[in-house]
Amino acid sequence: MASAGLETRYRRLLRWYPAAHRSVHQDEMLGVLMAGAEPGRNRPRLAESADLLLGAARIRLRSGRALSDGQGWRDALAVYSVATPLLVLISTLIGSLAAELEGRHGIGAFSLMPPGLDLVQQPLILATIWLGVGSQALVAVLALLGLRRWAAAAAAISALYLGTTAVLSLYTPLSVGIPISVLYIPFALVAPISETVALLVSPGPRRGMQLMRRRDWALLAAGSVVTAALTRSFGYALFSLGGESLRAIASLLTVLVVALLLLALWLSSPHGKRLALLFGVLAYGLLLVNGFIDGSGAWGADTVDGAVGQVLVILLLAAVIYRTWRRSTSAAGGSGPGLA
Amino acid sequence: MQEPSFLILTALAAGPQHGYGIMTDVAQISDGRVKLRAGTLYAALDRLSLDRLLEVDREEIVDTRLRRYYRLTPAGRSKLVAETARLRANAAAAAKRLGLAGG
Repeated sequence: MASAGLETRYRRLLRWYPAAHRSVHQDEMLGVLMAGAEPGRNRPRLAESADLLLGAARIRLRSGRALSDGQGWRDALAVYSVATPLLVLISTLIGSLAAELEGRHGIGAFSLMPPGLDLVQQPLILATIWLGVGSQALVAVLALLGLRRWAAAAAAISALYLGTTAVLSLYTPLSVGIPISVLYIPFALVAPISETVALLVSPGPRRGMQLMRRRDWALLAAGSVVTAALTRSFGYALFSLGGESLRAIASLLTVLVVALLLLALWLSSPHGKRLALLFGVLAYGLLLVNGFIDGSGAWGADTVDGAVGQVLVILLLAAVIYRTWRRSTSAAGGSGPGLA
Repeated sequence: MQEPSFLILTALAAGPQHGYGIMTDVAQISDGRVKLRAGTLYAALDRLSLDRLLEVDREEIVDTRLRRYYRLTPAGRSKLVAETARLRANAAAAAKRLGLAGG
């Protein structure tokens, strides 16, 4: 008869399997392993141990593939493909309006307008910036019309345009006095590049609009305001009036609102948690820009506020990723041969 | 279709079997050439189940151990029939070219 020590060692090997798979099959597999063991054996054979570890790796790999191939991700990307162009456009317009009301030139997420530019530089830079906004408006309109490929083409052109102008601004006379960091370039491109990818790989904005309920549209509107608040111009327009401490509190409150928004999205629909993750990446990109580039081009109060915000967003994203992964592997494992 | 999957479906073609039963049956079907171990068996069962080729028939407790019986689904039976026909056609073509009797 096989020993109790052998069973303990088999149990130890079975711990390499995903928890969901183990909860359904562990007892059954133990029965099979013990039935096949020769009498008197108290250690698994090497080949048997390797086979169990390889089996665990195969099932884990399959669970991971189920996570990335799932309909949930395609649906989340479909919603993202229509929501993000709208979110970027609306938040940029709100940011611009706030900056204009405050008497500064600037346009929200893409604002690089410093004070003190001469009369030639100002219109040139404004035209450059508004062309960027126009490209996002075109993506939003095409997405709302359900024209997936045209919207993807417009988003790719928008990414190319924003990338080119950001790089050129480092080396042309227009860059005089413009506080820009190389960090800005990749993050200014987060929205148009992710839009392009979402439009190309998802079933498209038409499917996204079918999935969006009234609550999702309301959240999109709220998200646009929050995103505008995360950008520098609107932040200055709104928060600098009350001094540094008020601005720091306002920044933290903004991050908390983002956290609540993500949570609400996460819970509101089956694809919500995946969508929350995608928007989290977008919000993190914008927050990073806000944190590292302040009005003087140097590290300042914004950097500190931004760092606090970044830690919160990283923690939030880690929690979302963990929950998404755990639920998805659980669902993939649970759909195996078991009864769960 | 990989050989272990084909042999597992073949083992279940005559009726439902539990994990250890499938292992011993596969060894018998293949004249001892294929000996499935538990890790390989359950990875294959997991994949075949995800492909809806087999499903759980029933569970029993024998000597305090859980036994779960699996059976072919209609899709699994169709797949096995198609695979058998494909292998038979390949074998016939090979036998014919080799000039073997019955080819």
